[in-house]
Amino acid sequence: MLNQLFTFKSMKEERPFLTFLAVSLIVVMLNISVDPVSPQTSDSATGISSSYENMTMVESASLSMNDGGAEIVVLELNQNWSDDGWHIKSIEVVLSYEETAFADLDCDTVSGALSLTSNGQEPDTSTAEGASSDCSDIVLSMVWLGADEPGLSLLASMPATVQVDVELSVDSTVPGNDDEETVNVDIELQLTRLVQS
Amino acid sequence: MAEVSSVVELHILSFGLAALMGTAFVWLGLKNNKTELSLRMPLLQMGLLFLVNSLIFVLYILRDSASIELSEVTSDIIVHLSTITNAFTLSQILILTMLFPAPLASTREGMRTLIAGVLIAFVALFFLSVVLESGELMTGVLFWTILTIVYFSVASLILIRWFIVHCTSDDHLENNAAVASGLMFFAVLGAGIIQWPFRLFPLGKPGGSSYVFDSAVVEIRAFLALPYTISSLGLFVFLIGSAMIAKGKRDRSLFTVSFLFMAAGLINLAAQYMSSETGEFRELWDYFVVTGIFGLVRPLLLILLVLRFNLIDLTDVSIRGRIRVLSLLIITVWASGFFEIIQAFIPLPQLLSAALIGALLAFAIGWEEKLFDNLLSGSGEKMLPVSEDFYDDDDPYLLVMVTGGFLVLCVVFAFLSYGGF
Repeated sequence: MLNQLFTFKSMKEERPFLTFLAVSLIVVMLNISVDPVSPQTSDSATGISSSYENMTMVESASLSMNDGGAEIVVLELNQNWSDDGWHIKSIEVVLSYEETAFADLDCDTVSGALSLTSNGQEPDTSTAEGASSDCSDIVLSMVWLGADEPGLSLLASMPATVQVDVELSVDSTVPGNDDEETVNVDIELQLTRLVQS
Repeated sequence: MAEVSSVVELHILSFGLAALMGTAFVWLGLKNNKTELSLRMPLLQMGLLFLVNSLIFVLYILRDSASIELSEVTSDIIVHLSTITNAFTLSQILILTMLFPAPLASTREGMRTLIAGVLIAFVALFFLSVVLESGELMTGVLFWTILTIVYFSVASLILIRWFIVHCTSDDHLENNAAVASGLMFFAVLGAGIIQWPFRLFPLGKPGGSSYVFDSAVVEIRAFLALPYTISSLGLFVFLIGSAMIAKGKRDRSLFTVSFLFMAAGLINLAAQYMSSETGEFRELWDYFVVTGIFGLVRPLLLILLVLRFNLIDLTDVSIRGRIRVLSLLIITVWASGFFEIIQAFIPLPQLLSAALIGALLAFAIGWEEKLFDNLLSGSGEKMLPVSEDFYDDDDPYLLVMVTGGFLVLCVVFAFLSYGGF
């Protein structure tokens, strides 16, 4: 059935092609034995659905605030991210601070609010507001549960603006001793996209 | 650095180039009766491949264009359709390797059986991916992956075998078939070949869009490694083979193309490891390397193949005139696409960019004239070991109809893939 020019010939004549097949097999086996993680690959690419590429984006800000003051931290993602197939699957914001005033036993009160303006779906679970008056971290989050669904249509997409509003109210056991504080804001976005040809 | 919006412009140019070449090759494949049917069939198949590619570029334009606002459902269906149609081009490539440099079967009936086998397997593998689909993998992606593993590997092996068996042959036609198989290998399997450093040096995955996907499961990784390992080793078979063969059988163009692909692989390796994984440079690089090879290098290599192995009858004055006009059009679109890539990395003033395109065109037009004069001297010769009367007169028409039918099937598969499987 096959063309005479293509059919198998004597063992001697076929030696180069058989060698090629053997080398291919050896290299395939070598590829299996090596952990396929690139030196630059963050933890984002491992252990999650194999048909999706994931990426973590981190933004940090350190806010010096006065008593009664309010600050806004904004993280914007433009349309290009959506054009390249990226969707947001979770946002986590951690607000941390310490009482820095000398000999002050009363922690200040910090409150934060997380908001998102984006295309796509609303988050499935969210903790959009929080406050702390004991110097513990405030964790705000938004999570989309449809990350494994085909088409990623259940996630948020870009253009998107993540906004964190932070307010400080100074509490002090020593009057006049404390009127400012530094609040650290860490925003972590988990992005995902379907890997296409 | 330029905005990623350059991507849409490159899609538009690539669409223009693919549509232009597709229509020209299909027209020549159907109407150029003076050329043997055995040569027109692969020409027609190349034309159909370009036409399907142009359809894929239209889908990419719809998907990526900021000015076209699609609903989420339409956008998802377009993604599914482009994945399934991409998978269909793998079938077309496998069929092309069965038609060129010579028919893989010894009889017309055998050839029809082989082509039918590829197409039936296309349908069967779609339903297999439906059955195998788990929570992790959607049908379209799984289908594309399975076809990449099976069809890409088989197509690579067919072309590599043609070269290994006939590169040292004393028969002029068989030797030409070996060279033609090498050029075809780089033309249709190019984007996978530049991954060679990641396959031959155990450095890990290349990342970027040239990479299908990875898996933590060893057995799946073995299969995923298969097609790109074969094509990576194939690169060195062609490179070393074309360099070491005795003078007279040695082919300079094949050696040059192999060397350039090897160098492109090393440059890609450097770009992947030296750039930030999330930076804009990396995004642009991943995109333009793959799409550049798919949209710009493939047409160039296939034109070289068509002209060099006389798939078009250049002795016919009317055909020759049309081909020259077509070549100028192709050169113009190609030059614009090339500068679109350059501009994505190095923003150039419009005036400078236009001047550079003009200079390149002037050079290319001069080169085209010289090339045509050289080609005409050998255009009457038989270049490949094909037999006359192998195909029936109805076969070109049948090939077009089957391709059209399968494109409709791709749309059906895209909806099935989106709608619940």
